[in-house]
Amino acid sequence: MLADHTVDLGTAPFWFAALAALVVIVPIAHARARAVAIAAFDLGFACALAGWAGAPYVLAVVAACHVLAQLAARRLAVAAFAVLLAALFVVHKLPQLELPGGARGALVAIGFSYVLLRAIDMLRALAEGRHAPPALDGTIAYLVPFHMLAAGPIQAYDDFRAQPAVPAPLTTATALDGMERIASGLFKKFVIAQAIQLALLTGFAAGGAYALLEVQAYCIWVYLDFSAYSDIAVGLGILLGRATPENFARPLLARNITEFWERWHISLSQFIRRNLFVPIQLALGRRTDGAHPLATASIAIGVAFVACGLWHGLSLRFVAWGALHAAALIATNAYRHVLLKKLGKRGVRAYLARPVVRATATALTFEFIAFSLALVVYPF
Amino acid sequence: MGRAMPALDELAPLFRQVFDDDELTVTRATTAADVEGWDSLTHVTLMLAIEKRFKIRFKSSQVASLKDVGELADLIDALTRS
Repeated sequence: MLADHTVDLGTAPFWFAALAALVVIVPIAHARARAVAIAAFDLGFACALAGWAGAPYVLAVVAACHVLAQLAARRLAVAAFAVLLAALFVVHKLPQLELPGGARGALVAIGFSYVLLRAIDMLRALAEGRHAPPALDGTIAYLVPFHMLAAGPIQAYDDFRAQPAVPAPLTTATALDGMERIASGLFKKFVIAQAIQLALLTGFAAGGAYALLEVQAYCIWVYLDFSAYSDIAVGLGILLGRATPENFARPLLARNITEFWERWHISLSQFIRRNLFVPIQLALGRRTDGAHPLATASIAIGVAFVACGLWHGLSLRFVAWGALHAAALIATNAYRHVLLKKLGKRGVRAYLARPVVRATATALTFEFIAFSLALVVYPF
Repeated sequence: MGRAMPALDELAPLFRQVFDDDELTVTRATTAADVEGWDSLTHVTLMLAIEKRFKIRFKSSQVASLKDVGELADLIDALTRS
């Protein structure tokens, strides 16, 4: 959620790289040549970001993941290697640890938090036999896609493998769609978010009653800034013919926290759903013979969101943030359950359709999102 | 895959039971968005009820990736045949 955006979209090198990718990759109609060109471009971009000192680490991470992918597809020693990968994540997230020169910069540059999630999705899909082992260019293009390095989205490995080797030719209408998304992202980030930052944000230095206003402004700023990255990634994906998942759907207008997570950082929510929530709920449901769906769902939500908090940052604040969201999701489920018991299906439908109920729920949800976000960054 | 399958016919009563709606009808094109209350929580409840009814076992990745009732019916069909 609080992505450490490392690819600076405001600099010429990123846009030069994007333009070069469009010029070089779009005209290639030969599937193999196209796959190799994309992989070469992605890897070159990641290494360039990491610099001379960091490039060997980028290559090492990608190579390790590719070896893991081959082993996973053959169901060999997956767990041991997955633990190694997770250990690397922990090392990456602990700033107090001394890492060899260039290593931390390299991991930050390639958005290692996102690379890790992609690697997990890939290894799981391969270990379950859903796909043949990938070629090296496939591993690279999936793990370090240059247009999704900054702040995701996290493409599902199944979706990555499902896309055609050569996309449909770029039409004028498609090109305009892509450019519109990029323009929308740029406007959000460099006009609206920038204006909010300059006019309203003080890093919570102002304190007092102003802090309450700043909590609201900060939440809107994070949404605009973060979703702008996704808009640009989706736009570039359209132009390049590379499937890029949507990541936001007006999340700040959600009427409850469940709906919020269906609309905010969607690719992360779906990753959590398919890799944590569903497996846990399914396993617990089988153990209890489906007798306590609310309780099993609550446990699954708790585990999934504390893990989500830890993914964002290995600190108590992020654990608290994850636990708060889990509690809110569990409370929302319980509330819906109570409403259904009390009012029945039709009664609930009528109750939820009342404008005042919708407006109140939406406002309360926004305040919860804003204050829980402030909890993570407020200088206590 | 427009053919009618036994799995699809037998799914409707399970849907009515899980979503507590006696008038609910399902077709191959039905998605979670078409059924009131079909969210991530009830989805797993539905899958557990289906596992019991058809004496099959889903992988969690299958449960998480279903797009519509048609895919679900095809999956049940494949699992009951294997």
